[in-house]
Amino acid sequence: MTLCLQENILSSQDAQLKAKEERLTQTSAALNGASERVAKLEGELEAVKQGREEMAVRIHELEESLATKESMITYLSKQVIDSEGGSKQMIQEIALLRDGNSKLEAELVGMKCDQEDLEGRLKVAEDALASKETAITQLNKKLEESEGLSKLMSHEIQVLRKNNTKLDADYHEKQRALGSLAGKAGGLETELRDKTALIARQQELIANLGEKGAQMESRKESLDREVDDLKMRLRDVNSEFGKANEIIRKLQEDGRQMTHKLKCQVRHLGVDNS
Amino acid sequence: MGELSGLGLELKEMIGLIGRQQDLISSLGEKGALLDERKETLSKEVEDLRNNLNAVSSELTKANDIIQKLQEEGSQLSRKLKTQVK
Repeated sequence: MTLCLQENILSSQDAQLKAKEERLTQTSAALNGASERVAKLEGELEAVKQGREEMAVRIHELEESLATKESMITYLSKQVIDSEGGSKQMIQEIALLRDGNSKLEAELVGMKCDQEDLEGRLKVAEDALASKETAITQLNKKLEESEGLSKLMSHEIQVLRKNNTKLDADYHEKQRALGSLAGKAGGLETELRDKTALIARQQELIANLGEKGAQMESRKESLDREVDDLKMRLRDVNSEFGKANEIIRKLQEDGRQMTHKLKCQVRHLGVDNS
Repeated sequence: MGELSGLGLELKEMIGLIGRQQDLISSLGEKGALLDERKETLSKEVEDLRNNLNAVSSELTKANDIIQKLQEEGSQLSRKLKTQVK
């Protein structure tokens, strides 16, 4: 009964342990995913920053080039004005320079637009990064808590495993003892069956002996009665025999007396006749 | 463990019962042997008594015959004596 209870407690503890381990694994996986996303955002932010710096350099270069060309145009215009009409070639050159300048200005406007766009994206990315950093901070806090919890759980797991090992050893020892007891019980049961059969045979034998004894007792009583009867009859016959002997003796005596009397009378008659 | 103790106790009681029954069987066997012996003695005694009774009966028959013969002889002598007296 105690072993069964211990096994139930152990199973319950194992299930709780597995659930906690699963939750920890899920938290770690979520933290890893968040860290990867943050790393990716940081990479993107770095690329955006680099693009912005490149763009600023390029704008600076363009602004410098534009300033140079404007000063050149100014200078050339001055030269043209100074040369009162200038040469046709110079006018064409100025026109080309003005076209180039217009293109550069358009390019500069486009690049400024791009820069604004990039700055907007950078702002969004920075906001996202700040949000992610907050999330990372929270996740780190949770991770620390989880790690603390994990340590506690690891300790608990070790204690439970130790306890489990002890319970397992105890269980196996009890199983062995139970096996041994079952063997003994089997032996005792066999012996009990044998003894029960022996008792049944003995009781049968006792019943037979009792029956035989009763028959013999009855036969003995019958023989006793027969002996008494025969003895009585023998006594009667002996008595009769005695009486018969007495009668014989008496008859013989009578016979003798009569014979004697007869002889006397015969003699007396013989004397008378003579 | 309790069941095992119960089995042990039951076995002990059975062994005691077997011993008592064995004693009873021995006692009944001895009594049977005595009764057998007594039966033999009585049978022999009955046979002797029957033989005796037969012998005595035979003797009694002979005695009766003798008596009858003696009575006849007495009657004859008595008749003879009466005749002579007349």
